[in-house]
Amino acid sequence: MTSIRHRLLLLLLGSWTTVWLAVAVITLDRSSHEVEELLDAQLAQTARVLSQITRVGNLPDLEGLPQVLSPLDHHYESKISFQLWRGEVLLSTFGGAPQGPLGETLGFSDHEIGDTKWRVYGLATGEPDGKLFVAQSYAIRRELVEFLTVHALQPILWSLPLTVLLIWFAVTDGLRPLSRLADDIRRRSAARLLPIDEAAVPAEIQPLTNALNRLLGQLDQALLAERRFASDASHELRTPLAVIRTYAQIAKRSKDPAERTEALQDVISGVDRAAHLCSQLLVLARLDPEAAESVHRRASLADAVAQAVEDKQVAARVKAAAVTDALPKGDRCEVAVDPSALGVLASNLLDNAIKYTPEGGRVRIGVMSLGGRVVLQVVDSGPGIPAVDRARVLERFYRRDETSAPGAGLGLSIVQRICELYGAEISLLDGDNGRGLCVEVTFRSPT
Amino acid sequence: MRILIVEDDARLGAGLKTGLCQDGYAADLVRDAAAAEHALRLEHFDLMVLDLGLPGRDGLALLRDLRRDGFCLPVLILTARDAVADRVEGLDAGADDYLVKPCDLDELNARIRALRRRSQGHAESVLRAGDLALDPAGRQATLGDQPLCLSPREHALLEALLGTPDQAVPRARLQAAAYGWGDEVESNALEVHIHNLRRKLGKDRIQTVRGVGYRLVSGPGA
Repeated sequence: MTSIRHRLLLLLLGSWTTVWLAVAVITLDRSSHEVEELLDAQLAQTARVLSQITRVGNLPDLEGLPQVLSPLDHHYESKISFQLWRGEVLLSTFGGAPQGPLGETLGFSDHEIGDTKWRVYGLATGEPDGKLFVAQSYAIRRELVEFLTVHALQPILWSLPLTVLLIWFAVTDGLRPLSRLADDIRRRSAARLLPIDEAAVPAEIQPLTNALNRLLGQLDQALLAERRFASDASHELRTPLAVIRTYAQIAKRSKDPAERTEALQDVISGVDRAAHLCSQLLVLARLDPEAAESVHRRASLADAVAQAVEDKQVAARVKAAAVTDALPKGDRCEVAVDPSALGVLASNLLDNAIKYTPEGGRVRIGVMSLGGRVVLQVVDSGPGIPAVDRARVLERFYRRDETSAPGAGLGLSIVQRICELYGAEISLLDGDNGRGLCVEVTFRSPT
Repeated sequence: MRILIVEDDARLGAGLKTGLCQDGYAADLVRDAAAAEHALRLEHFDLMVLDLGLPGRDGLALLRDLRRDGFCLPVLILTARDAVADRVEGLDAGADDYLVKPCDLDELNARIRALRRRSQGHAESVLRAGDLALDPAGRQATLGDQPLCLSPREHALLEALLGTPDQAVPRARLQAAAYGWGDEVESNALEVHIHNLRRKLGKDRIQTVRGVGYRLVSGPGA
């Protein structure tokens, strides 16, 4: 598992440490250079002072110099050595200077004698051939440089752990909105799928919460549909179950064989009704909004209608109803609906029409293409539906009058749901000559 | 005892009616609130079995209207709505009992008997008048120690008379207790049944109240 905190800590600490090291190296280099310059200046100054002293005073006076030049008071005072020459004769040395010449040239030079490396400043004294070499060993100078730079770097060094700590706190605090969001999501449950408050979330996380909210919304819808199905099923199955139980009990109690047979027949038709209700409820629940969103869906309305007419032959014959279909020749009338949903739609509409048409009535089912739109019409010669009731018949479980036609009251609401999912329009109109009912569904053609 | 069944599902309504008739009640079926109200305003019913999910006016609305208009007959709600809130609402709207579909006919019958008993102010399940006793649950009547052999209509008539002993019961009420709509009733059918009852109970136990109906006399042992 990757961790944003680890990544951030690694990046911040890595880059900070690199920068810090670079700064330290440059600082060390610069300050040592400056200290060298300072020491050189000091060396030159000391040389000039000494040269003045040797010119003015006598040589024996030099014996007092060790006390003057020995480091005494300040730890930055450094040990200085010198040689005083006249021609090839070494007049005087001091401070552990070697017996060999410390330098040949005047001015600054480096000189190595034995193991010791010297920084030398040569100066001509006032006397003929007189030369003064003031020298300082590099070991001593380096000691000074190190002392200075280490002291300068120490506070920055101490700041290292402090900085690590601060970065750690900053990263943790910076990630707090994430853990808050996690808490927020944790508080949700399947029963409480509220959207996340996007105003309370930092801009960086908003795309995440947007997507999450969209998903939560879809989930909520799906759960709602599930719950509605369960509640519809349990509620609507109660009546057929009550019918079955009542007639079963009547049959059990009855002593009259004819009454018992009749009651048992009612038990059977009650079971059929419950089964029909179950399958209709399942059809409704399975109408999947996901499938409706798919781009690759097209089906022939003409085929669906032809199939439905064939399927309902028996039902029509029982009712002695004349079913006629009017399909355009050579046009499959493709519409943007899933084939199985289209089949359910056509079959439900035809079923309804046959159900409500009186014995010997007429049912007409027709399809036509109208410039990019396909229209399905199912007309029956039944009692029709008054305009005031037309909106209600599309509701679930609404039955206007089940004396004439028993059913679950789901047929039209299934049709309505399919129309809703696939963007088709359903309208209920008067039938032929103002009698009966005409259901008209207008589909979009597939793009 | 005459019961009005208000149930929009024709098949269930017919089943309930058959079941209640098997138990010796006179039952009538209506399919919506308007028909129920009409029936109640025109005729006497001892009890109503009411479905809530009716087309048009809801069962609860009907019940509230009836109670507001002073109808005090016992009402048993028989519905698919099983939530506690629905039960509470139903009982608060004026129902005396609440049953959820699917229900047992025997339980429905027992609850109807209990409601009937309460509405007549009895605590005991057996109706008594002197040495005459009738057990609606067991469908058994006794005179002293002797069990009586009664036809279903005689039983229904005796139950109606025993509901208010020593008081006159109107003819129409007795007629309603024994017959539902569609039952073939001859003009003197009531007299024939009363005659038979008198033969079984003793001539003086049922008195004719002229212009009103009949009265059951508590008689010995009262």
